[in-house]
Amino acid sequence: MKRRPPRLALALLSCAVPEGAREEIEGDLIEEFERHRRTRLWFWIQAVSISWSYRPRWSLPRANVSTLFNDAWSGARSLRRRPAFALAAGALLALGIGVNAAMFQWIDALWNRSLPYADADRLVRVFHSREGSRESLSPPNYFDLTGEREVFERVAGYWSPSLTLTGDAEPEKLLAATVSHAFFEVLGIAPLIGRSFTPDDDRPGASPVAVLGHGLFERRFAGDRAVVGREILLDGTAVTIIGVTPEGFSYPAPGTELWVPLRLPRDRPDQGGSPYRSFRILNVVGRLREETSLAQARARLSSLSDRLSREYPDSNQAFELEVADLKEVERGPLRAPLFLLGGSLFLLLLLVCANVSGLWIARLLARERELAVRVALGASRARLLRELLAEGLLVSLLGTAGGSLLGTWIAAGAREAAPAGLPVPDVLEKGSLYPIVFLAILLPIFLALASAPAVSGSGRNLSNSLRPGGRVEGGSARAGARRVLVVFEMALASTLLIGAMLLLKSFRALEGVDRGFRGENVYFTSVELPFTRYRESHRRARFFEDLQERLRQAPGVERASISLGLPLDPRAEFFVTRSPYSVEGRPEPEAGRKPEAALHVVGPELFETLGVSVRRGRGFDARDHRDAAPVVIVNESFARAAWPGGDPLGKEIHHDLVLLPDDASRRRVVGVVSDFRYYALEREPEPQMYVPHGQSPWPSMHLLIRASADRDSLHAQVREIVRDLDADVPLAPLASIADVGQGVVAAPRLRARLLTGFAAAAAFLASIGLYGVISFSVASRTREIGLRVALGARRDEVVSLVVGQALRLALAGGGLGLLGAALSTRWISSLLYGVGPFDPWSYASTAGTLLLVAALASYLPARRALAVDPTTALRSE
Amino acid sequence: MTAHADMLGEFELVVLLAVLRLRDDAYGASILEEIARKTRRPVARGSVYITLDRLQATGLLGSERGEPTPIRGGRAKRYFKLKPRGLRAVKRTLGDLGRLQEGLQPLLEGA
Repeated sequence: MKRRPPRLALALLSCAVPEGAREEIEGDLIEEFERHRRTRLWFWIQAVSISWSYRPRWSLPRANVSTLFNDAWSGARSLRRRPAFALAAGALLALGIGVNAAMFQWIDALWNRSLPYADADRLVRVFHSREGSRESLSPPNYFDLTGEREVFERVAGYWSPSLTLTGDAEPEKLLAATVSHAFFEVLGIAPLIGRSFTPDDDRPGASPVAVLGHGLFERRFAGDRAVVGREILLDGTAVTIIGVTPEGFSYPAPGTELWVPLRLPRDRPDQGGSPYRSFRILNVVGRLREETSLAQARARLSSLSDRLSREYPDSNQAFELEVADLKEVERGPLRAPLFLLGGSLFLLLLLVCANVSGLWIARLLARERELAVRVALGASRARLLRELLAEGLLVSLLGTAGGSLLGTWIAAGAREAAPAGLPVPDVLEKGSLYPIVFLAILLPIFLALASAPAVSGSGRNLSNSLRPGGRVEGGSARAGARRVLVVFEMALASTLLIGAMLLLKSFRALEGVDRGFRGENVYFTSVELPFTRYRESHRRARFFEDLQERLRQAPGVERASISLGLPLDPRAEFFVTRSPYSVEGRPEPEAGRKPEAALHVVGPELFETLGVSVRRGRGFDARDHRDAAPVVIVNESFARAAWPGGDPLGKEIHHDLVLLPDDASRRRVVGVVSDFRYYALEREPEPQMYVPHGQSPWPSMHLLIRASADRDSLHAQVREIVRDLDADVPLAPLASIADVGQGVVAAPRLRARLLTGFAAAAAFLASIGLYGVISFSVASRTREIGLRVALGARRDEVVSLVVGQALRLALAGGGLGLLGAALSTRWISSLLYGVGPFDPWSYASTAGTLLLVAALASYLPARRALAVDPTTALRSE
Repeated sequence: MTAHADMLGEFELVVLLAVLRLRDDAYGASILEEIARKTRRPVARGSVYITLDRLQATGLLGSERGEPTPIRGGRAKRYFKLKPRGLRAVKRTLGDLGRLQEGLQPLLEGA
């Protein structure tokens, strides 16, 4: 085979070596390669070394401190001569950096706040998963899990009830966590004062103890360290405080202030036919052994879950044990919103860079002649480049300083103005450096790229650019670079516009969802009966009956009722127990495959209070007491699922779970109510069962009141009635159901608003960039336009000349942007509701907006082009 | 600062002398070889070409294109020749060097 010199090496040479010397050098190399049988490696080495010798010398400015100082000085003087550029670019950068620094601080805090635990990589959550949905574990399954010593170092179970702290001060409701003794050890949290739980504390029947959260410790006990060993009254029970957690710890839920031991029995007789193993109430967190990987843990637990489903088919068959990284679980819901926020900020920052570069190029174009003269007078290109870069860096510094200041203000302002319901990060002092670092890398690159042609071109075409009216070759290259920048800006803006349109549309769709109930003028609060004094169910039933009865007679109250959970409450899921069920008239499903429905406890008139209509049969009333026949009301979804096309009234339902030990589990349907959104606006109504409170007298209920009275006077009335019934029952302030409904859309609204703001800013920046390019182009084509007009071009032809150019740039950018959006919207699809990521309306309206922007940006330049007087234009030649 | 055209740098002098020695056969590869052989130093190929370009640009060297040959992959040689100004520059530099050496023989030989 004939030997060939490496082609790529030849290509490298032809790039690096100027035309005149290339043929000879290549020939020499090939000749030697042939004659002396050199290797291909030899050829490569020669090619690379020659190319290196021909590298452009001016690109590596070598400078010492004094020349750097000189450069900076002349850069500063040059900026002072033309302050408009320095101000515009500085302000743009300051704004970009300020917004970014503030927002990235939030992102940083939100993202990294979640897991302040030692060796968090080894922390996992364990779920029961069924068809992709994750549920908690039953106590026996949890105990089985604690036996997996090869997988876990420690495992802990917990759930979050709310407990009432009474005593010398006003009763206070606290978010607590009932946890197994290993809980703090699993998370690697040592108490600040006192001790954490021991296995003895966790045994059923052990004397009750509690660990206080730092916030509660400071607030209620004034940070007195002697609090350890004292007794407090929790839900009417005396509990000994044994420790205080360090500041900032609130696992499992933000706001948790109290931890008490679970004290779960290992075993318990089945109640009302519902096995202990189907009480899926425990959340499980574990610490993997150091040598166990997540994959190994998964494999081990998969064999455990096979065993469980074999041994306990009726409670475990359809479920699998799923192990998930705690980080992933905690951060999962944050990922899409933070990606959206961070991503759009990144795009905005890119846009700011592009815009500043555009301004920079415009400035270079204006200084064409000055640069040419300086080269003619003997200034070296390296020197010029250094000076230009120094100028750019000064502007960047100016912007960065302003931006850091602005960022601090914005962060503080955003913290103040944060809408309720949005998690506010505790740590905000740590300023985020990302945008600044990012800019520090990016901006010099942009500026260097933009400056290089100015300097390399200014020597060659000296005579041309010195001639009056003459333009340099480099000038058109730079105008080209500017057009590329504008296309880039348009692309970024249109990506943001599409995102904003999609989010706006989802928000509107979400807001427009028919909730199925009327929340206006409905107020709620929660009432919790201390279990110790309301041990007997008839006392609890009696208390709530009296409460509702007295409320209904109060002035200004139209309706009053009680309910275990609240519709659209973010904690709705927590208040509701889901129970497997079977129904009369349908074949019994095989064990473990039973359908599930939520089991609610409600008072009489709840549906009337919420404006939910009773479609068939009746609502609950005084008839439905403890001794009467057990009854249930279902919603339409339930009726459709259980008896398609049939009549539900009078049919019997058997639900496997009961809330209180001696509750009935077989009930006859007495009514069907219309569906309403319960868990979340975006979740379709699901099958629900409603049980009368009289027949399942749960101690802690929400009180719902439809009233014409205003909130304050209503609260005073409710407080008086409750106090009259039992002075030890705490009462939280009244809130309105409508507010809860507003809270549900708060996050989507905030997202839509933020992104709309970003998109508007982006469109504005891009339109300025476009305006700059178009008006420059009109200015430099004055003679051409004059000539065209002199040769008989019509006004509309002149206009289309200008506008056409703007449209082409806008469309090119828009096309790229649509592509970018199509590629990135799948990341935010989980935030969309009622609109697909490829919604044609959003894409079309973005295109429309871009065209509008292009038209606006070319309006002034087009007017200027129309005003061109052919005689003046030609005379200037 | 650019050096005065007729003040030769060391490597420029070396290249010009090599071109002189090769008479009618001075092209890139032969110049490189000649320098390597006589100075017994490895020479960077790229710096030879760059220097040839520079000397030609300053008017000390002239060049003409030869015939393309198959062994060179169909690429032509570029033959270099000193222009009168180049020759003068070499003479003058050598003269300067000679005068600078005068009286230094004992010192230089001892080194």
